[in-house]
Amino acid sequence: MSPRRRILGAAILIGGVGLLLFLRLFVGRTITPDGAVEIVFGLPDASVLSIRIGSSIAAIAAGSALALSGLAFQVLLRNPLASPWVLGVSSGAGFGLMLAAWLVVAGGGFAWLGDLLMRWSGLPAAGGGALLAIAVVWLLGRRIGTFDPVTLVLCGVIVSATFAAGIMLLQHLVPNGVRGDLVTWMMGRIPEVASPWLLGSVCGLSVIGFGLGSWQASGLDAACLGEDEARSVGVSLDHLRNGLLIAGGLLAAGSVVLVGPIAFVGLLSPHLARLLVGPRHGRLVPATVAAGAAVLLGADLVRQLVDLGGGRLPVGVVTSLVGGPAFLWLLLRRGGVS
Amino acid sequence: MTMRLQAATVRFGAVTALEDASVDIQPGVVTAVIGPNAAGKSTLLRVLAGLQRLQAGVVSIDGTDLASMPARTRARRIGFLAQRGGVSGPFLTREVVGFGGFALASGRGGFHGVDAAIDAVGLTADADRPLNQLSIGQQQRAGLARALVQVDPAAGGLLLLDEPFSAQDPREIERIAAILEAFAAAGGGVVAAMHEVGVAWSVADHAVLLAGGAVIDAGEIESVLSPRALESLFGTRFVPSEHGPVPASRRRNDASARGDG
Amino acid sequence: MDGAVLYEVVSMTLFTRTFVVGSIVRRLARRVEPRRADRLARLLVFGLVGLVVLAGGCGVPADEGAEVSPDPRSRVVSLSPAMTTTLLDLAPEANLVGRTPWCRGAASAPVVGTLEGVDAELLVQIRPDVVLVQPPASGIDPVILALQDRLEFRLISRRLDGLADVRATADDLVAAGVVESKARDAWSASASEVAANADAVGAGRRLLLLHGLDPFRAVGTGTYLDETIESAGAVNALRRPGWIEIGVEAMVSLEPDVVVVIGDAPDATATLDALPWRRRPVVVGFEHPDVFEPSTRIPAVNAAFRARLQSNPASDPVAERDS
Repeated sequence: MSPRRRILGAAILIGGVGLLLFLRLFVGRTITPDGAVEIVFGLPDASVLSIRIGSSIAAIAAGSALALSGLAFQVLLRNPLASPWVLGVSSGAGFGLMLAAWLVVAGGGFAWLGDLLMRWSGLPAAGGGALLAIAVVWLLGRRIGTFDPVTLVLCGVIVSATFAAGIMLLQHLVPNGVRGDLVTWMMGRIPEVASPWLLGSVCGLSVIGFGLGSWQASGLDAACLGEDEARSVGVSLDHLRNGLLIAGGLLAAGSVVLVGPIAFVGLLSPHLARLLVGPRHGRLVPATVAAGAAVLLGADLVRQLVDLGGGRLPVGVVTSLVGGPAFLWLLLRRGGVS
Repeated sequence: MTMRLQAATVRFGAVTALEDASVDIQPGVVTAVIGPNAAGKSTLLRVLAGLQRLQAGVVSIDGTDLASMPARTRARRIGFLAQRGGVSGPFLTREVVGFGGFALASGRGGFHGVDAAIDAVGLTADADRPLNQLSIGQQQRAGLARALVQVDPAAGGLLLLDEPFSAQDPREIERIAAILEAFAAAGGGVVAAMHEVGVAWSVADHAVLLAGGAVIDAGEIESVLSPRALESLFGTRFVPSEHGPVPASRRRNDASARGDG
Repeated sequence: MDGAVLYEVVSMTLFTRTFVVGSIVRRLARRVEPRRADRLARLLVFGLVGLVVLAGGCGVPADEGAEVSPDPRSRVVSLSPAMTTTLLDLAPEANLVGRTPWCRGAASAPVVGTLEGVDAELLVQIRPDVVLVQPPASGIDPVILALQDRLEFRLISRRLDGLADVRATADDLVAAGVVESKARDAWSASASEVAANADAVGAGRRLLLLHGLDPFRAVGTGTYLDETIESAGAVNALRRPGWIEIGVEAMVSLEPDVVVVIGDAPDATATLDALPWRRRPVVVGFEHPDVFEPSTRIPAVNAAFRARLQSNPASDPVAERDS
């Protein structure tokens, strides 16, 4: 990839984020005097603008966290199909939420615990479940003795399946109305008014992830060699893998708590970034951050403008509808993934 | 620089890959590790590279136990080329060769710089293509270039190569052999696992014979590589020639087939 | 998000950044890799500058001076179809300015949300005075609570599990000044009258009420349709709370005397007759346009239900139980 193409790629990414942010802030729907809703371009008044800014910050924070998490897992597992949810983080979070809801509805003496877990829009429940999933995978890996890709994927499958079984069990035990909430949550939602603490935490996680990724860029590059050769070149592969697992897991946990388990953002953003700026991690890490922010901002923008009559689409539906074909196109273009 | 392996034993479950192996690697010479398939050549190389944990025994370089050496320090001393190279991701050949400079301060200090190493292995025309698009032989040579960027023979560097000739045509074999000789002449050590006896004869100064995980013999190549030793190692007849012992030919009208060793 | 909150977010991010930057730069200095440190520093500087610009540009104070609506009536947004029906029954001229896609009788108002969540941007533009919400079991949407802090509207939030909840909603609407108390009293009186005149058609029979056939979905205790069953003098054969998805075995073991199926399923009778009942129950179909809304129309639904049970043409196998 020539330097010129790389610069062009970087410009596209940064310009893309800027353009999408601009559109997100200035394009929206208003209510006309006779009660109809129409799309309008222009500077909105301050209260609407502040909501849009909050929404944009959430989208950028969650998008970049998801993208970095996806990149971390793709490097860790040496698998271009890895997503932030491959190690069971979303199943863990969903299980936490379902458990809290069940406690509230049918927990008897423990209903207070369910209420506590559902405070701050489910942050303790979802966050606890997500962190539990990562912890179990990490402990399993340590117990088995290695963090190599195959072991980790197996651990992830086990953890995902176990939590999914738990979710199914709780759904069976719980009345219908609560079940509907979990389905809604799984489709993802970018909060228009999120607690500043949560937003700041996810922003901070993204920044730390970005910093660590840039700092370790050459190590991440060399880790793409075969396992023996990477170690022989001087990469401390065990430390690197540990770090990638924990970083990727925390980033995924942060975003699942903020926006729910949105599909395809973490999977596609690293590929999009690699397409535009090449595989060297020194450039790839910041490009991934930009790509993730752009993808989620774009999805939120589409979601804001499309109204199919049943309320707006959840953002996870938009990313899935676009992400599936986009991934297929990427695959065909490359003639298989290298 | 001396590398010493003492009584090394490596087991994978029920399989013993190396049993009580002891070897001394000298600097300034090319050492060939010869043995049939599954003799433990790759395991021996990985042990020497510090990549394989030992169930018993010690591997040390200049008296320091390799297991206690930090990764970067070890990387500056020892370059390793695996049997199969390759990289996950569309990295360019030039970039992959550059990975050899990971452990070096400011990426300099190996036998060659990145461009010189690429020239030396004959990949200048392909340097800006993605590595995964090259042939297996070319990828192997790229790996060799990476190792050349990584270690400095003048500082007692060591090259460990697993079957570096297996995918190469004769011209490339010649080229690689020249590089290895130059590396050894500059003071470094070279250990290459192979099963091409003829190439070993022309390139190596020392040889280590390995079979069933045990070191059969080690020393100067002329004395170690006798037709009798090779026959017991590989199970086929070898006859002497001016290019070292060669497998007895199967041609019916070849006079040497009827000759004795 | 007003300036203070934004400041919190930005300062938290900057703080973590400063901490990380400090430790990273220290380590890099030790490694003496000027190229990488330089590039990283440049990236971070751009990032910081970007953040500062964003923070500065967003120091827009929350503007509370909304345009004065020419209509002096309270502006009501309803996020519950049942509450919309209740509102429009009690105050047909109410100023409904926002609804869900399934609210009936309010086509002129724009859609601003669903039972699960609200479109914050539209709500902010509408500037309601009252918002009606029917929260799910997991609690009310925190976005609505956050918007209530910001826009200072009156929030009426009720789970609608029975007629008592509808009465309470009506009282809330009166207290909010949206509904006149005499309209509420009139409805309340008529509802009580309908209940008083009800004759116990069900005669203590065990009744199972199904609202779905594939899979079987039954009405349990503690719901407004359970009250419908009781208002007809029957007993709910299903003694579990809530809306239950029930299996064939469980259904058969309940041994109901009557099974009522809501909605028009032409082969409902055939489906149910084919099940392995120990003693086959009477199967009755029941339809009513308001049956799925716990609103002010519950008394009418109850009356229709009783009428349906009474006029059931199928023979009653346990007629000897009637008094």
